[in-house]
Amino acid sequence: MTAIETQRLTRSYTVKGKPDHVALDKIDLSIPRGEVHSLLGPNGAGKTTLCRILSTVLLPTSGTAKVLGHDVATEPQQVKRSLGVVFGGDRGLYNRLTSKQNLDFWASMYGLGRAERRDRVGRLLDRVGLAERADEPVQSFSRGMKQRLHLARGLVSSPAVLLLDEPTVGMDPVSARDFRDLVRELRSDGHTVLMTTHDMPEAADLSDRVSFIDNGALALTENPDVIGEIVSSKERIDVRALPPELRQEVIRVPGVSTVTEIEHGLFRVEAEHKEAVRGVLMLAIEAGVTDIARSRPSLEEVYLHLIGRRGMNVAP
Amino acid sequence: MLHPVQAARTVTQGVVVSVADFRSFYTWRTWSGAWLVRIVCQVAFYSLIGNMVGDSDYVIYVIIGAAMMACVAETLMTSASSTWDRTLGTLPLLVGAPVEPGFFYFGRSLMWPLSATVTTSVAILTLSLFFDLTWSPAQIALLVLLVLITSLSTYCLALVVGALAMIFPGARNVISSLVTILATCFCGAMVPVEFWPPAIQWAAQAVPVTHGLEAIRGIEGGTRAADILMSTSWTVITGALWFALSLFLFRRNFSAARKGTSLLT
Repeated sequence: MTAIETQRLTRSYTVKGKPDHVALDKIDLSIPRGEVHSLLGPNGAGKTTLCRILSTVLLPTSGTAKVLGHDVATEPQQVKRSLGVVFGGDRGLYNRLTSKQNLDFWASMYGLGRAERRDRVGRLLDRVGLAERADEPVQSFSRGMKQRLHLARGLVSSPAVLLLDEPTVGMDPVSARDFRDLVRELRSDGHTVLMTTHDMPEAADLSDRVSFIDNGALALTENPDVIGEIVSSKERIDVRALPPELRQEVIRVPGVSTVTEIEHGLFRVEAEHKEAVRGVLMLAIEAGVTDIARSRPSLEEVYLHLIGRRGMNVAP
Repeated sequence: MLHPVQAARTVTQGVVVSVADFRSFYTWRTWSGAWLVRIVCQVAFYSLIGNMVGDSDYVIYVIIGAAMMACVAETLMTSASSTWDRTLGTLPLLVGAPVEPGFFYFGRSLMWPLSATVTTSVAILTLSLFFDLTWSPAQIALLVLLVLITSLSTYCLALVVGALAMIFPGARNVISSLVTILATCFCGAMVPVEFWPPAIQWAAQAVPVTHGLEAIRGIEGGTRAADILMSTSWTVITGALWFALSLFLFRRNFSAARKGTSLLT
């Protein structure tokens, strides 16, 4: 069964005196149950708009979006009960309440009884490492602690589908690692997770599939392990400390297309086929060069290839 | 339709937020030593003016009127507190949760009418000591009960004001001040409602404090119990109607937010 499905999903905003701004443009996306799916794209690409529509906070202009078969526009109550949402940033909490009160608040809003709330709130606080700070007001929390509380809040209703909008922003590395463990646990429990992130290693590490979105349109949806092949079908070897004379020999190996210095002392050899790779490896080892690694285009490279080097400019 | 148990839970959680907010503004000392004293002084100020321009009956009229207007003003702080979820960033989460917004907002600002009940009752009873106004223990109990009823009914009107302030958060204090001024002028606080043209008299009947003032003055003046009961009933009825309107408006605000208004930004 499909957990999330959008068909020609479009959201545009009317701006006085200007042409309509299209935040999402005919998005077709299908995420099966139990999948961890990452949404990658620059600021203003439409990631948060998609999350807001799926979480019933915003209506689409046209097209459809369904969560567990329920239409977000016409059956919002059913969608709300099956969905947990974590919006990024440190806003969205009642700062004068304690972390326990915050979770109790949302558990109550999702219809949990007192005994169930007490049990679930306690377990979640423990899970996100805030059990010892349970009775402290949230306003005294660091940004990372607030982010962990947000995660717990998103899980308080035990949702089948979880939307995480930049969930690790502000987290320290240890908390971010714990978060990744939590997402793996959620996947093994059968939860579906749709996550927006700028953290490419995180997306590659956690996701069954990733989607690239830019200017409101989906550029690509694929498994992160094979996604590199889409932008480069070449074999790649990174060799450190390649002497100039050996470099010349490597270039002459049949099937080697380029040898480029990608950073000081580190050379990337691109070859057309595996036989060429073997030839390069033999040459390097015979010359005593052992700092060699095969590499694939990283998710970040794919991202830059698809989205372009826009720098600090946001989407128009 | 929301289940009553879920409605009660929603109100209760609103009250939890409300109490936490109130505790961050006041301690018992600052509330009783600053806020309560300020309200008593405000009522004393109007009472002294009443003493200068009218007879002893008019002074009593003004004490009750000015105290009830302080109650209205404090209750209308709901206008501001109804906008706080926008600032906190919790509004999108509320829109995305299976919440009946009107019930949440009913609990969300409940600290104001409860505080106003105490400040208004204390103000009337304190000023009574200085202007030869005596209350029997039974009258005091009825007075506090009627102040509570009027305060809660006015709160329902304040929720409607709060729902409007959510849309225009920059004007929240202007809106609440305007309502307070209109109530002070036309609802029988300082001059009888009958002083105004019929259209205004009719409009004043829609405001709970108009009937609450009649009931409280009825207790002080020894009016027939049936008349006091009638005024009290109208206080409750008008409050209930405002509450129904507030439920509709908060739901409408949440629906409008989904269409992409500025409410969620």
